[in-house]
Amino acid sequence: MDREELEYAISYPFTSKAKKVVEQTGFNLDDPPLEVLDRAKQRIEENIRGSFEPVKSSSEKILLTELFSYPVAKILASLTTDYSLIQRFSRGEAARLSRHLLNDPHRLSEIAKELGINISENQISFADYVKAAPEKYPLVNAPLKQGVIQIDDRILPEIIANTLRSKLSQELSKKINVPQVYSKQASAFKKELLSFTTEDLGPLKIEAFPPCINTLINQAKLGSPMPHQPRFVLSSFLVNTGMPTENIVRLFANTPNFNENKTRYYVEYSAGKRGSGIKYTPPSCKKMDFYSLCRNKDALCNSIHHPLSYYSRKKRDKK
Amino acid sequence: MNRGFILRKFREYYSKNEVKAPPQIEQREFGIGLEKKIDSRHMQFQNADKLNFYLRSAVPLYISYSAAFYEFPEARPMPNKNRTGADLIFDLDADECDVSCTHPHDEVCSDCMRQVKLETERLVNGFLKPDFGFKNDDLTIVFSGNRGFHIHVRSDIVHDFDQNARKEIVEYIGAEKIKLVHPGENRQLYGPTIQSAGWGGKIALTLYETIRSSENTKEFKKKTGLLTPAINNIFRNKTAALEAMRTGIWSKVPVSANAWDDLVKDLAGKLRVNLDKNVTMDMARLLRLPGSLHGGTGLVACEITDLHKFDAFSDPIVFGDTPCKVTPKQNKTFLLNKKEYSLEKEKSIELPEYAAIYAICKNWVNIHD
Repeated sequence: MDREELEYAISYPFTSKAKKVVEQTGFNLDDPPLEVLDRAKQRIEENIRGSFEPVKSSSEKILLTELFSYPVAKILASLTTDYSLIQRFSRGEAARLSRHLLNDPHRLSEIAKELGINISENQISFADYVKAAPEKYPLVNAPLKQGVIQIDDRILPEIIANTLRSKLSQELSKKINVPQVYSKQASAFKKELLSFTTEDLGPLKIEAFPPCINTLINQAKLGSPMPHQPRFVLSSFLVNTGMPTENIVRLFANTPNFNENKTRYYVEYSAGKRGSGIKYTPPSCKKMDFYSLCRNKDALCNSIHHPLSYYSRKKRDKK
Repeated sequence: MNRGFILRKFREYYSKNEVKAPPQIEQREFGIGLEKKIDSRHMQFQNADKLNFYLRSAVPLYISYSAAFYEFPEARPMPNKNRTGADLIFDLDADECDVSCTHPHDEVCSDCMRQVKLETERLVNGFLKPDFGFKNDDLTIVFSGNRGFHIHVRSDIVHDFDQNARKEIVEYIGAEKIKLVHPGENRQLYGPTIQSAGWGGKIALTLYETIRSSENTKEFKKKTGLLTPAINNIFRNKTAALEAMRTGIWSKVPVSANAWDDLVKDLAGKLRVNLDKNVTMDMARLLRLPGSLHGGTGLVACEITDLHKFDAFSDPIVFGDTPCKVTPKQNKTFLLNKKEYSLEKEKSIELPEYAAIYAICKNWVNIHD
């Protein structure tokens, strides 16, 4: 096998070229060798922690293991059906891609095309842009005309990486048919992989709830109407702190049109015990603000980006 | 008695009129309201015949359909429907517009409607067509049957937009997070020019034109309604300011980056379009079905071909003018079909059928049998 081809496939494992390379090796996804499985788990862990070093090895076996770890890691991540793990995994793959693109600026449009982004003369469709707009360059500040955006070279790598992220997170959130060898061990995998994500939040400590959540709790207790969005925020937050389902259900008891069974279903749904099986986390502070649910900010709020980080931080500080 | 009358009239309407099926009807979720706007959803109709048969036999007061397409529109809960895409929706109604009408919040007058219509025209002609490049064929403008308009964008390219993509679009139209001036080399400040695309061009061109055509700050303030401190400096250096808008070197005027940012934000606040962003972002939203009646007014929710000429108090009237005797429950004046009607509490009056239906749906009168 051509070494250059192999290295390309490792850097850009989602491309058609890379898939062809995998095919040529005769790798059987249904029966991955142990070292590939281990590397795949490690890959997920690295993605979650956001720390990875590119493989530098001359051993073909190590390089191949690296290549195969991508499709296997995707299956494993998807198996967990854990929303936040899938997001973090996808973000990690996007970060890996960003690094490679930094070294390969001549490959930008080729890789963009692989991800379905159409670029001609530095112009892309707004449709590709909004699906992957970098946080620092929202559409509102882009030169948008007749559906087309003249794009800056500095922004393009971020758009490409973001496109991979959103494609992966969509693909992995769908229910897939996985080879038996994975599904048989699904729960063991899930447990192992989830241990990378959850710092154990430990016993419930209500005093450490962030002000936005306290505001919602008070509203619920006072019997204010609870539209979908705040209801979802409250229930997904509480589920993640480990508050028992019944306590959460009771919290909604005063809200107008309270229906105990529906509420229980809803809470269990947020916990991933119903429906798609995906456990949800509450929205980030940014989204909370967008929905006008960020209330009574305090000093700690300025140093965190997520209501659950507020909780874990305050809990730790209180110890 | 009121309810029976309304149902009879609505049934008559649905028997005489065929409601057009929305595109890909079999992939849409429907919701109907017999009492309130939606009291049952997760319904599916395979084709226009089945939909019309239902309307004639069940006679709902409201019927709505999903912006989204699903593999299984009837499945519950929502994720089991398996969404495959969604139209892009914009919702403009009297609530969102800055109108200083004195009537109660939940009512609508011709002033509010004129304002909403203007906003809708601005959205189409100032944003959706020139910036986003949508064509007339991509856009369906629908009167909601009460106090606003929905724009349905049915272009293929929008169908796979996720919530974040839709958020980028509403934030564009609302000019949220706008920031156009940036420091560059040699301590210069760079901004857009009058020829820039997108918001940059809108802002630079508006500033250019207004500065050029105003004698002094007072006139500028009058035209824009803005009172930012930067304006004094701009008019002290008017030629430089015009030059700045032509070249994009905004530091030609002694105005700080922060002061420019404030001016840009304030001006964008005047040029943005106010819409209900939650409707655009909520992909599970049900919208009034064009061709169906609105149970709160008895007017038809209709597709509009010429928005400019559209009169929300005449064009959507579908009922005749047979006189109907009603007894008002309250004093009320309202405009319909270019005529003003005055109701006096407890004083029975004859109204043309369409006005009687409107007033009954609004719960202002009781019908005499």
